[in-house]
Amino acid sequence: MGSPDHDVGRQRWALVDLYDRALPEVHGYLASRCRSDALAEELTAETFMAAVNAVKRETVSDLTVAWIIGVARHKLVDHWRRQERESRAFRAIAEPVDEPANDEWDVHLESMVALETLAALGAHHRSALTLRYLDGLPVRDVAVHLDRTVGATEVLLVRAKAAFREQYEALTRESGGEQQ
Amino acid sequence: MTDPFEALRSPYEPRPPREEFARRLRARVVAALGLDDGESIPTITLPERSRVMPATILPTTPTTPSTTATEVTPYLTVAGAAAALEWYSEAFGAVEEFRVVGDDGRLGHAEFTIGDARFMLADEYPEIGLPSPASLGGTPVALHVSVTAVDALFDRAVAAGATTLRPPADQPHGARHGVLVDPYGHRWMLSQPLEAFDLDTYRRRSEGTGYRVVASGKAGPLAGATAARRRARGGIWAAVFYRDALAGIRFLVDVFGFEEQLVVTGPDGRTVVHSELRWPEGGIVQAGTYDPANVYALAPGQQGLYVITADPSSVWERSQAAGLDVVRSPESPDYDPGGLTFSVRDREGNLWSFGSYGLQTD
Repeated sequence: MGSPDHDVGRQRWALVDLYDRALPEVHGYLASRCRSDALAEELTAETFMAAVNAVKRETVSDLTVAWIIGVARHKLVDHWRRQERESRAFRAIAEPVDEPANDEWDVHLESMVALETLAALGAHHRSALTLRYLDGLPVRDVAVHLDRTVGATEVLLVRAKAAFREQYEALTRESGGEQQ
Repeated sequence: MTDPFEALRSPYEPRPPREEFARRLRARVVAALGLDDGESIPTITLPERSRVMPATILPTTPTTPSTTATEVTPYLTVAGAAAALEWYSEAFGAVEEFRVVGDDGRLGHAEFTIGDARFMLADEYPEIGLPSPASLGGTPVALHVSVTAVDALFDRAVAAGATTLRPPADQPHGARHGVLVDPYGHRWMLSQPLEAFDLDTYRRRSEGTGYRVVASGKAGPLAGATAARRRARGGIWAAVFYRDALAGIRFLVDVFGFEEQLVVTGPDGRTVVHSELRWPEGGIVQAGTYDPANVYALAPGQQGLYVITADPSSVWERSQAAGLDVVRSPESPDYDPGGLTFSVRDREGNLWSFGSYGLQTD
């Protein structure tokens, strides 16, 4: 029912509706994953402006909260990619070549320390762990987001977990020392 | 063993950003979507229509033009307007509001009230065709005034010099009234409502009087209950909100048939801070600009209004021509078997139901 122009207008207003409805969700999602209010706001803005472009290109079939969270996830990954490119020069060029001998790690993660640990990791490790574990995405979806093959993603995850473990244990040792 | 990393799983909690940020980003989104630009406001294809909205036409009289009249004010011509003002004050307790005095001493215009009823008055101006009853030798029009104590007022007027035509008496239509002629030749029918107006009762009481009461079938059952309606001074005005209220008002006028009574915009010329849109058959809708910071403004799409009209079909045809989303096609509801009702959503999602609820006569 209605002319195409009419429908286009309707979808634009639907996005404004979605903004009113989903803004706290999008911001909440991003804020919980980037630990900086300024960055969360920046990415929130990027998310909705990307949504505007998608609606204008008429490539969106369903304006839902799930969809806009997906857009936010893309923006988060894009941010990490930028960060990774910028920091590449300062990072050791060689990834540890040796696979960790034992991927099993029997520990109960302290969530505050864990988040601090994540923040201290390189962007590539942080993004892989966030998508895989905080967001709970299956490996193949993490691979799509990071634009890697599933195999490369699995390798990256193993390395990220090793880096996480090292950082986590260093942090818990420090805080343990303070307590004494 | 379970992967300890699974403990990192953190479903996020909704958390609104700073209000200032939210407002600015919203404005960016709206602007980027081109929605603030008047040119890209979604337009509706309007059906051809006459300036007279069919919504106001009663089904049995399709050629009767609509009227938006809400008030009739008698405008009296008297020989000696200034003296007449004094006499009306003495006889009826009239209160003069103002007078417009001509260079020649005649009153070009004056206004007074008796209770809540308003009157206008002027001297004779034969040169422009305004003779008074004194010059004409009588008047064909009576001034029917509803009053609260007809006997006392009638006596007072007669004491002031009025001529009795018929003294107050109970009438079969449920009022007690008397007729007098004032010293300036105007005929007054002072009428005190005693009971609810009811055509059936009137018809029964009129048997054998030489008169038959015949309902026109063209008006609602309340059409004759002028006294009862005059007493009902309250009212409920509905409010409805739009992101683009000017477009919303244009829509309500062009498609549904509301009439602009008042539209007040803010300094930006686009924000509607107050409006009164009159439904020709009665009722006011206030359309305003949706503002999340305004506690009175529900988001568009959260409101539903019912509009009562004797002719839902015409509104339905225009709604269809405008391509509105249909929530309920026209049907006769159980509670109003002879009636017709339908529901549509306007461009911003507000729900509108039109129906002839309870308007049917026998």
